[in-house]
Amino acid sequence: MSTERYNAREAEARWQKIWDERGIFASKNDDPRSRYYVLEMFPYPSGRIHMGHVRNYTMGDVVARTKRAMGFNVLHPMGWDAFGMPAENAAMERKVHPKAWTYQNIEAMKAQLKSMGLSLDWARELATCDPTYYKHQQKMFLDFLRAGLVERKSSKVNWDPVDNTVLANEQVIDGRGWRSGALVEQRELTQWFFKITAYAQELLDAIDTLERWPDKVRTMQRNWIGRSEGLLIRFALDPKTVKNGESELEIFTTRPDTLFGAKFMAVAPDHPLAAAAAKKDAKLATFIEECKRHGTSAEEIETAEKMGYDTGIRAVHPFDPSWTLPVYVANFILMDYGTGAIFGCPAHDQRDLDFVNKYGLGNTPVVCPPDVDPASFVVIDTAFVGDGRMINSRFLDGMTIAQAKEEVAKRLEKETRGNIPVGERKVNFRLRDWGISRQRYWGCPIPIIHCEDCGVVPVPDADLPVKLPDDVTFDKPGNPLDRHSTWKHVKCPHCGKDARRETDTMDTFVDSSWYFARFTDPQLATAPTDKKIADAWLPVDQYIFALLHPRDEEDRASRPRRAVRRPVHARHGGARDLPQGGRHVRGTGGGRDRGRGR
Amino acid sequence: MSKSKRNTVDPDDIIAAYGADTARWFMLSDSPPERDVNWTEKGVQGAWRFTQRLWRVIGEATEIAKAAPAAKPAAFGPLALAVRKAAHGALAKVTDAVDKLHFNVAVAHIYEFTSALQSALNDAKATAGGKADAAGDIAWAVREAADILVMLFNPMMPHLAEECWAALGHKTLVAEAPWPAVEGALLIEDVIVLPVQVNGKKRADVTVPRDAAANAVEAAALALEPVQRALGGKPPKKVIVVPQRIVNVVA
Repeated sequence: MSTERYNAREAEARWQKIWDERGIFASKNDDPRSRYYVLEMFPYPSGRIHMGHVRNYTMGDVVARTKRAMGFNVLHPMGWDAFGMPAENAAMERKVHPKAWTYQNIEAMKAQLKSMGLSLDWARELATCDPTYYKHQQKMFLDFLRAGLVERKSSKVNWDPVDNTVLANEQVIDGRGWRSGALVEQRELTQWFFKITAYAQELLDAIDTLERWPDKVRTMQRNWIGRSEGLLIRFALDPKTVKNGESELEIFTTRPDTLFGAKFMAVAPDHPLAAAAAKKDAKLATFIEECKRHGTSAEEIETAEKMGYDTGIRAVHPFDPSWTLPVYVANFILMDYGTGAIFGCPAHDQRDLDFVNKYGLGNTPVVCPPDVDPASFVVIDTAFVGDGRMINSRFLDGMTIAQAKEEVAKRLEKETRGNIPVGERKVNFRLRDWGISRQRYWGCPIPIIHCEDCGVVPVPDADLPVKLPDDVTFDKPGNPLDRHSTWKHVKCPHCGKDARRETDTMDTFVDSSWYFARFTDPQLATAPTDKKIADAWLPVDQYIFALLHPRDEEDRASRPRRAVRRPVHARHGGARDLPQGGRHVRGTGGGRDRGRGR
Repeated sequence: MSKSKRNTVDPDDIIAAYGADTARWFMLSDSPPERDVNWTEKGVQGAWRFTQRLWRVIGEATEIAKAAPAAKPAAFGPLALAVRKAAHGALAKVTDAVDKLHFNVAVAHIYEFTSALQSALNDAKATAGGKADAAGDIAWAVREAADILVMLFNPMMPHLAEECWAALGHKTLVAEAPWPAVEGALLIEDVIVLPVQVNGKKRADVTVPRDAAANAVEAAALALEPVQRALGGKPPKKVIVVPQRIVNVVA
């Protein structure tokens, strides 16, 4: 036999059949041996597997097969992250129903995965677009709602006026919609939010417990949560300069020590003060409109040219009533960070420095680096952000930054205006609540009914799942659920009067936030998981994922996961797979195929 | 959406042309998990040739293993012992590398072990006069080594592993076989390598048994050709052997 060639094609099919027939990769929940859970990030059913999948799944399979040989009861499941925009694009472009397209793709990819000989427990296969899966997700949404962890609020979104849809930041290219090419508008939209900020500190603390995660990933997650300690300061406004009777401007700062270096105040374009001032200033109104055309992603804010508009309003320095500062509307201030307003200390913040250099407002250094003569220390075009001693700061002179922060906080806490302290210590997080509403058909319906009399009414548990209708059309832009002739018309569960269903569906990242738990008991009909079984399998012992799109990673990192013990991350095959410019991948999370809407 | 359009390589094509095991092996062998894979046709062909090589090595091992006694021999000769050390050394290293997710390192150890087994098979055939009927201890060690090799590459190339496992005469599936236990005693290196200096300059390394006496180490060091050359044919004035560390020769 040693002279014969090994015929892989013949042998591989034969052994796959034998493994399959004997069911040797099925894991049983009542198996008494020690458990080991190997999970690769489940794929989006795009239609084809690529070499990146082959690599990830092979790595996972090596771990699974080795642990199985070592006597563990191994769980190695596979499923499909099956909701999302490519299916709707296919429907628009190729006139195929998203469901049919998705399930065809699943079949094709499953056959491909089987040809790889992976030791997967296919009996646990799940697809997030299956009502038996999303039923539980709807129930969780309602449970969160009852627990006060879901809320409906108005927020700013990128709106494509041609496609009538909300766009993710990465779908806005040079201020235009990625599909329609239309100028994107910033719109206020009422959306559903998961209140993840309620867990900001807990999530941050939990990062320390992820012992085997790469430091790089942990740092990124910390930065994403972005905890900062600072001070809320209420600046009085000079009554002679306001036009609408405003009396003060509240700002959040992490650098109260630099108050004596202040040169200007700035508010976000959608700050109430800006909006009010714009009513009496047409040029300002135009400026605000211009700002709204640009994206609000961190990257765009960082790279965009700093622009401002002087409102003519002046704010009074909290330590010197005779000192007033001009109030600008500026494109680099975000309404949903802090209070949407800042004081600018250009010598010690690069963005503020870029701003004053453009508008000729000057700068005064108030922190002097060690070993530098305070008399000769000047800042020209690079802000000094390091440590040092206070200078040019009256009663703070000579202190360290930490001492100065403490001194400013102490003084402003004691000072009151209208019986309220002028300063208040506050922990601020960069993390924002997670807006989960999408104006899409191919997603998990949000189980809510809107009644004119009763308001927002949860769909009764007994009526779950709220299933997607199959008879929808994609010939027009916008959400097919919204224009469906009957689907959204229902009776109010409370009063029985005519009411309408919520037609938004959930961000597909909700689907992929709990699949690892569902795999522990994927056929359970009565609950998302069986607590005992889930506790026995979780956390995942080995998670394997690929990094594809840095922005997606950032998004996913906004929900640091706590149920994964030991991740390994792999990059997909070759530089051509990296985002433009071969940017190095950082951090955790979503190996989503690019162009995926959320 | 599908990335396959932008990729020059489609997994289906690779699997159809070379088999899944080749694709899997290549994906693991090229670089550590956190780095990119550089896809090359040459690399894939190399992986494919290795599958054929494994198949041949296991085939030859099967022939020799036929003479293996059922019971573990009480003693092993030098060749059998060398085979067993290579097998258990590879087992320990591959187990550790997989645990650390250093798949490319695991792959490298499997290559090394395969070469070691191949040359042991050649030696066994040579000592048996070109015939496969090796001595019992060698046959037993070869069978053990072949079993371990198949177990080690099974997680990476499971189809080929099943085929080899069946060829070795097993009636069970390698997918269900327990991971072999390392015999710790076989991992202890019983030779050591010491640097040899002549007048403070390193001239050579000497390989000696770990428990060799000082005079034996001295003799071995002086017998080395580079040391002889450095001495220019004259006897050394003094030789200092620092046990387990170094040999210093003063000319």
